[in-house]
Amino acid sequence: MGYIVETKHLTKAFNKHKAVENVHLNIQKGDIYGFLGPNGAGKSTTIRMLLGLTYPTSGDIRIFGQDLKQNRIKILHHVGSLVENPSYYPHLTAYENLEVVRKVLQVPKERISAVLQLVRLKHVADKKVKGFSLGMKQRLGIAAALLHQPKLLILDEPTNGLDPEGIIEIRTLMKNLANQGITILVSSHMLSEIEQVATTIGVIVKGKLIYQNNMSELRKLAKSRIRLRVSDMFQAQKLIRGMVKDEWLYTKSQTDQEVAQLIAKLVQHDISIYRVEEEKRSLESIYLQMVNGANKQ
Amino acid sequence: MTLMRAEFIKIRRKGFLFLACLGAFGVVALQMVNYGVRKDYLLSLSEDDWSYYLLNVQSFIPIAIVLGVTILTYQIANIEDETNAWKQQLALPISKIGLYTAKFLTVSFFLAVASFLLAIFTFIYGLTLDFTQAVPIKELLRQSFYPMFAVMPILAFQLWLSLVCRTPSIPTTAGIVQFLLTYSAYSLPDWTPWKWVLLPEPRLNVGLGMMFGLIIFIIGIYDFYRRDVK
Repeated sequence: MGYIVETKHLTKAFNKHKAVENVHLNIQKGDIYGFLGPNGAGKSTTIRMLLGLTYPTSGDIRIFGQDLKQNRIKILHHVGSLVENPSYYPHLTAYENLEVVRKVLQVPKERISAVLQLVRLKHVADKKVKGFSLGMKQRLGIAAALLHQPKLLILDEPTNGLDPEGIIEIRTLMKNLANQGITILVSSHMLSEIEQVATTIGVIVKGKLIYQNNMSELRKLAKSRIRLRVSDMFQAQKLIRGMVKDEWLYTKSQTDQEVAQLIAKLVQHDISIYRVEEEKRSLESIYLQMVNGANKQ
Repeated sequence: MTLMRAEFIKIRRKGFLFLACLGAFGVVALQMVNYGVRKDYLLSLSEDDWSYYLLNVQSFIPIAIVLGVTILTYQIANIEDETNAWKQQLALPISKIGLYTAKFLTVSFFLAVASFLLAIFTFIYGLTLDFTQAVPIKELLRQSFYPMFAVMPILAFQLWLSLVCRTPSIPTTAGIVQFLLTYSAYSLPDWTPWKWVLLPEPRLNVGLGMMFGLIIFIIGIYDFYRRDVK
């Protein structure tokens, strides 16, 4: 299988505490992989290991099909990254900051203005980064990550501290980059921030990857359901089947027609109907349920 | 080399060159005061005026160079620490060893600049004093450049601490201690590295300095490589 990023049994322990435990990440080419988890779940630690910043306690990492331990420098030539809060040299201008990175990457000078244009920072290229807003610094970080036209882009909480406009901007940028065939790993602690762009979702809680699947699979879980509250729950369940939970009877029926028939049936058998509701499960609630479930263990 | 060039961009506007000038000038400036105030008395102390002048200049080189080393190593680590740029730098396709070496060479470069300026300032002020002697160029160059090699162990050690410690207070404290030890090095035995900077036996001290400098440098690299990035 041609995974761009593949980890096996990836574990990182700080003393005895396991920050990341037995994680199997699989990221396919062209994916926007949404890496989700509450704060302190091990997202950043995992990402740091993918970049060779932190050494795993055990387990393997393969990027572009190559072992990270042996080919770190070769692999990093094709990886762009933004880890945690943006790093920059405050006493240098935006242009100089990128020049530092450009020198190391040895790409042509034109790339600097190209990426500055891309993140719309061209007008402040000669201003010191010290005076930039957080959003601008974040965008400068993304510009640095894109300087060498990487095949894999790793963004750790790129929308942290951005205003809604900035979030949308980054979202659009990610979509455009994915269209150009770049694989993106983006972490977040909020599903809502990435549910619109991610094609695959991985959920990490307490260092363990508890869910990893296509976005469409996750969406299926989020279908709405019809629920009823009736006078005789037991009798009603016999008649129309479905599932009882708390005070509610959940039915599998979906279409208007089905629901109408079902109500008619109940009325015929003298069961009083108090409520008929449509219950929508948002992705967010499914995600929270996953997280809470994992936390209880 | 490319890493060195990147380092030079990073330290723009951080006053490295200014510091190198100030250090070199400061040492000579103290003698300007000394000779300015009591030139006749100083000249009466020795027959060999140039040598005596060089000796006077030399007395302040050790503490100036140790102080300079502490500040430069602190600064070159601080540019990365400030916004934790370590992770950004090392997520680039560069080796940790390369980055460490680039920082070491950058600091060494500015020490060399300072030594060079020191030689020039010493020479120029010496000329204005109108000694009736030929200039002992060899002596002058030796005393300007030797301390830079003798100070290598201290440089390697300070750089190691600065690059590895998460709190800047540790390398700063160590720097102050080294400064004080150098200040009182006259009363220390000859085998201590702080004494080497005073050059009691120039050739030996330079040799020892470079050898132990290299050893500590390698230990530092190994430690830096082994650790997770800050």
